[in-house]
Amino acid sequence: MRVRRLVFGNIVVVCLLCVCMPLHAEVTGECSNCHTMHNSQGGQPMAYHLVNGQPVASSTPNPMLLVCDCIGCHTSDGTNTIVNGVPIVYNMVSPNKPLAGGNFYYVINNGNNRGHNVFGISGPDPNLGNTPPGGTSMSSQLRCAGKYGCHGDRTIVNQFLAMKGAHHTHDVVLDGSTVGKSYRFLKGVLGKEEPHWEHDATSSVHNEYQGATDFSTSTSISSLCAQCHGNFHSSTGVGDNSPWFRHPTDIILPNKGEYQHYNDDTLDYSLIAPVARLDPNSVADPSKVVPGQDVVMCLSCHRAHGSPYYKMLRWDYTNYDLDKALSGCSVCHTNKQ
Amino acid sequence: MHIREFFKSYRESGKFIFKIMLLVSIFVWASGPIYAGNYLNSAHGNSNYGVKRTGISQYPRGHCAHCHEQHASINGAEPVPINGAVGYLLFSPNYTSQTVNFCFDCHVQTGGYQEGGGIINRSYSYNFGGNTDSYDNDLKQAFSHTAPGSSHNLNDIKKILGTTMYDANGHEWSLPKTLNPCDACHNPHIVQRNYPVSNADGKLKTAVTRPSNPNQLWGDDEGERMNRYGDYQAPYWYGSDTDDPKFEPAGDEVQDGSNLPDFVRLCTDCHNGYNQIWSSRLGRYLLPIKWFSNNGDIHGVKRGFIKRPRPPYSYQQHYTLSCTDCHEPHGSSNIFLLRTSINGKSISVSNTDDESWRNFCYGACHNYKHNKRNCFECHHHNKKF
Ligand code: HEC
Ligand code: HEC
Ligand code: HEC
Ligand code: HEC
Ligand code: HEC
Repeated sequence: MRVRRLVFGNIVVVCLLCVCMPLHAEVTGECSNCHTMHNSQGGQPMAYHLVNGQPVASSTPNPMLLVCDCIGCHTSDGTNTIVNGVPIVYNMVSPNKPLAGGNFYYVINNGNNRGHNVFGISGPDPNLGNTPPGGTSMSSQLRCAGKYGCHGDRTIVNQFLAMKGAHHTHDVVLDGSTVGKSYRFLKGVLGKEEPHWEHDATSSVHNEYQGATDFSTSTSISSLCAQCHGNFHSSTGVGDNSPWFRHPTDIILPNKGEYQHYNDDTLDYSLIAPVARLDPNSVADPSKVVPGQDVVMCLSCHRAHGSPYYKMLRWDYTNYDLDKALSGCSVCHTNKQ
Repeated sequence: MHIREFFKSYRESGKFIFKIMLLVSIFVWASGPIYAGNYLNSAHGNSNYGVKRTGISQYPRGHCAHCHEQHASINGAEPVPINGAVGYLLFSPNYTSQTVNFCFDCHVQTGGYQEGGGIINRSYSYNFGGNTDSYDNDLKQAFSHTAPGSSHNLNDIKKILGTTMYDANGHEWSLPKTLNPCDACHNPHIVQRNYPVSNADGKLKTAVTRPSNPNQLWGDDEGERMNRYGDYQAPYWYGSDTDDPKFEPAGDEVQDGSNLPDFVRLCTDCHNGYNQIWSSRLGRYLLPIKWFSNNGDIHGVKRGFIKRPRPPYSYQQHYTLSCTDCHEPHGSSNIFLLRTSINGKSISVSNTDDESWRNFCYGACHNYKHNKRNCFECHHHNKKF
């Protein structure tokens, strides 16, 4: 067992994490790595949670007797983004290899418009408050999971109840039937999970996202975003054909015009501006994009958690060098660079 | 020499490797990025004078976001101008009417959304003819002329979008129905700043694309300019004459059309013998224009000498004229989009009376008029004389 010490000022929190590199999204290891039976060891509380990005020991037990809340486990004070098998989504120092969703580090360090402002990591977004653009105001700040979050069952307010069972689900086949059997515990969403959350992604090693050809299919990754940003993914908000009112998603990348030359005509899957697939589990060649078949999605341009760039984009769209600023758009819009 | 000996001789001379390397590097250089577009070489994508919408400070000049809004929302609110989410993700509707057009939201002398508030685009007669006496200052003005002036009717152009058209060689083409009519001649993602005339390193800066081939600049390459006809003579620059000859379109000595896009090909993508083009203004179909036919226009490519020429044109010569030698592309205070200056002289044609026509034909290019009847009765487009 490895013991990891997090030292913050005079608060000493011992979070015991010893998770063998899990193969699928199912936790293994001793219960006490993650759960604390009485929230007490040597008179010190075992449970902690994060307040504005900093861990605070707490004598109030966490739900499900967990040693910490979601962020507590998924945070690191180092630069690594997989620590003892835990995917880290918030590094307190600049992450060396941000995972597929990006990292919440940038919201704290690069600015509020670099990502989702999740309770526990940062305060509410000073510009947007709790209103998702394209959607309606939420009565509470964003959480990881539950009604005010993205993960878990979004009909349940409590984050842990919303995630109940997920970490212990053996999810070899993702069918969206439960949280555990959904892509990255996003209930109802499908896809194919890269086992290391794109830690070492290449054009052939990466997640496969679920795409769709309409706005009503609820299994697509873009429809997840649309649960809050509804107007950006609907017939009335986006239109059904060119000329589009907003940038389309869940439409097929056309096999004509500039789109057929995706990624400088290499058709290589681009990690800067990737596509979703209609059937993530039967992708003939993951390293290739097939115009006429693959799908534009929110994550073609955005990261889900946070990125170093404006509006959590996947590339530096505000760079003063236009070549760089437009480098993501021109992966698909090959005539416009 | 046998090929093997050829290589051997090189190898022996020690230049072989060098030559091969040179060849390879030329090949690599010349092939370039195959599908690179031309946006960053366009006027809109230029980082010194390209698009920059007032109030959009986070994006540098030339950036897509000055015209396109991904979600019609930045920081939770639509950036000015507030028009809701509209087609092509533009910040305001693409095309509404002759005078309400997305392009005019910036291409207007004052009150536009381009930082600084205005863009000056003067008439052809001013920019490429040198006429500083009578001209429009911006595109909205140019398209706003009503009788006795004239403007290219955007709604009539709009009507041909989405239909099957033929170029002057009878080849089919068609543009999307939903396009802005301005885009029929100017693909906004590639067209360049063409004024002042810049013709360097074999490339002419050009602001036009052909309706029949919207993804390629027209006039930028050699072979796409008026000199290709071999008998083009540039008209005089405004106020210039035999004593001090300067020529269109640059006001310099170049007079063979090598610095002028082949506007004949551009205009005849629509205006030819195959397409019927309705004119709302005239309430009739336009006369067919047959610039390439032996039985077509006298000012076109066919044989036949000029009658009673004024300089710089000479006797016993045939000339192929550019449409822009006589016409404004956008609008004019004259009828029929006729320029306010032709061949160096100020020209006023406010109606179709004989006197107006004489002013035009005799005033500009021909030094003799026979007073039989109204010029126009016998001389007009698609006439051999
Ligand atoms: C006690 C530590 C701990 C807590 C608390 C915790 N997680 Fe996890 N989480 C893990 C570990 C370990 C994994 C890696 C499991 C695997 O991939 O096998 C993981 C994986 C995940 C994944 C990735 C699943 C996948 O498909 O790869 C998500 C999403 C996630 N957790 C969300 C949450 C949310 C939301 C909460 C709060 C409700 C939470 N976690 C609380 C330890 C924790
Ligand atoms: C790597 C961390 C980790 C380890 C190890 C772990 N758990 Fe959990 N467990 C969690 C997380 C996170 C949750 C809450 C979210 C969820 O259910 O996905 C949870 C939830 C639970 C729950 C309530 C929800 C449910 O699944 O019904 C029980 C009971 C539970 N764990 C028991 C155990 C036992 C018993 C062990 C040891 C065999 C164990 N856990 C080991 C992370 C862990
Ligand atoms: C549970 C609701 C919810 C879901 C689901 C959701 N978002 Fe958001 N999003 C918000 C809220 C609330 C804000 C505004 C507050 C903030 O910035 O955190 C926001 C802000 C944003 C912003 C602007 C960030 C900024 O600070 O300017 C982007 C970009 C964004 N979301 C993209 C996405 C994408 C992409 C997805 C899907 C992967 C997604 N969102 C899913 C609620 C959600
Ligand atoms: C993953 C591929 C992809 C990326 C990346 C992408 N686009 Fe698109 N874009 C498309 C597709 C596909 C369409 C729809 C084309 C159609 O319907 O003909 C589209 C449509 C558009 C339209 C509307 C065109 C119309 O016909 O209405 C605009 C404007 C646009 N994109 C701009 C951008 C900008 C700016 C970026 C970068 C911020 C960008 N796109 C990035 C694929 C992409
Ligand atoms: C083609 C690239 C592209 C795609 C696809 C895309 N976005 Fe965006 N998004 C952007 C850009 C660029 C911005 C920054 C604002 C701008 O320039 O319009 C942005 C901004 C946002 C914002 C912030 C808006 C605000 O008011 O600040 C949200 C929220 C957002 N996107 C959500 C989504 C969601 C949800 C989807 C999928 C339904 C999506 N985006 C798909 C490019 C994209």
